Amino acid sequence: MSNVNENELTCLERVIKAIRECKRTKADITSGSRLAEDLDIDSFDILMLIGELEEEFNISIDENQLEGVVTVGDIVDKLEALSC
Amino acid sequence: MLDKAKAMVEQIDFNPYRVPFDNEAYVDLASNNYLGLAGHPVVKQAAVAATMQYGVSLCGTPVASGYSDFAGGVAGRLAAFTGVESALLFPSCYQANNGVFSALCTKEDLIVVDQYAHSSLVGGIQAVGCKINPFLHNDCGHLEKILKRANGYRRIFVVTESVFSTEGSIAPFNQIIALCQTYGAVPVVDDSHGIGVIGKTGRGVLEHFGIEHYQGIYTASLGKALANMGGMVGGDAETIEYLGYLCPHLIYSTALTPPVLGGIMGALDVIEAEFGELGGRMWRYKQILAEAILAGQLSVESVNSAAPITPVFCGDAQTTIILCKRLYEKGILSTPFIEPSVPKHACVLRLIAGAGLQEEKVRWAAEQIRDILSS
Repeated sequence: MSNVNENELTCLERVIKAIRECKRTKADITSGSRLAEDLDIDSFDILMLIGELEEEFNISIDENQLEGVVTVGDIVDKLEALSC
Repeated sequence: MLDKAKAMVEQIDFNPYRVPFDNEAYVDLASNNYLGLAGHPVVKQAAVAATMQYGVSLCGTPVASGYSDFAGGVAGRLAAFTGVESALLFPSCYQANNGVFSALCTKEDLIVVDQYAHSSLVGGIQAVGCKINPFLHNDCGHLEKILKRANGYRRIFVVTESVFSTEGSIAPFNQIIALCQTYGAVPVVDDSHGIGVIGKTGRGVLEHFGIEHYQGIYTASLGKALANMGGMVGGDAETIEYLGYLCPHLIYSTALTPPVLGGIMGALDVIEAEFGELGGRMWRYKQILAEAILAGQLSVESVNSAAPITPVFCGDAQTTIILCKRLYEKGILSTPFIEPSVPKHACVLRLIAGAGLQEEKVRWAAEQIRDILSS
């Protein structure tokens, strides 16, 4: 169970938290981090990330809804469009 | 991706995927011939005898002229050998892994799969069009987290390999089965690098973990330790019967040929009679290679692989191919794994010293590898 009050985290911070669950990386992750080039997240990893995002945001995400995302910021934009 | 790989191969002036080699001149640490059975006289004679009796091909699918009592017997023997209730033979394990999911899964299912699962499993899973959730490699904690939150699906499948072929880890399959039982999921395991390799008598992952009355799906290649070709799918009798009539990857493909069927029977005869000696030799050779890697001052990750696979973690593709070339120039064959087979920065040069090699050649190869790694 998270020790952090999710209401205090921004959408970006929550996305980064989900990414760290998948990649277990210590690298700096910012809005501009590119999923493939900077974080080694390939199309299969995206599926794992979707699972973590679904748990973090308590929503259901279809793979198509993240089509075209290149950066972490793109994911945030897509999620905010889903009113997260 | 192909253009990039071709450019790299040209720059290094070595294509590891098209190397010509003379069997006698090279020490083969690339082949999956774990027990050396591909050249075993018993296996060869069994293949020839089956050919003389049944011909070179039955020229039909298993639901047409391709079925024979002989094929049924081979499937039954493989089922008994591996510890499943019933089994089917496929032209390859790639087809088996693709076909199983196409036939058994629907869009209403959830498939939870190890992130490093073989591409044949991933391809088969993706073709279903259902929800897919990879879990962190061999991480039962992460797997359980996913299973706990999964709801509303018709069925849930948990998919893994027994032995991961690039880095030699063994999946915690007993724990995975326990989680499947707790959360009502169906376990699916690809034992291609486990059958004939792990387990006290070489019977694979179910023997290795002492699993009886296995209730999931089992697949395995018959072209590695069993030294022939084809694949098997094992499971409960009802599921296997269903697949036998309704799996397109099986019923629309020519059945395994008599020489292959005979060869599989011969391989099983040898394993059942000689695994103690052959397996012992295979593990001893693994230890020889592992010590050479350590002496070459590489990471202990390579030497700690649980299976008789010795991975040399090289990082990037170019370093991997260059090392493969250096070994080839010394007369040693090895297998480089680069993207997309492995993650981009996790390229591996894999070494497998099969029991059919002479120990002096393995020791010689190990010395060459140690010298190259430490130079």
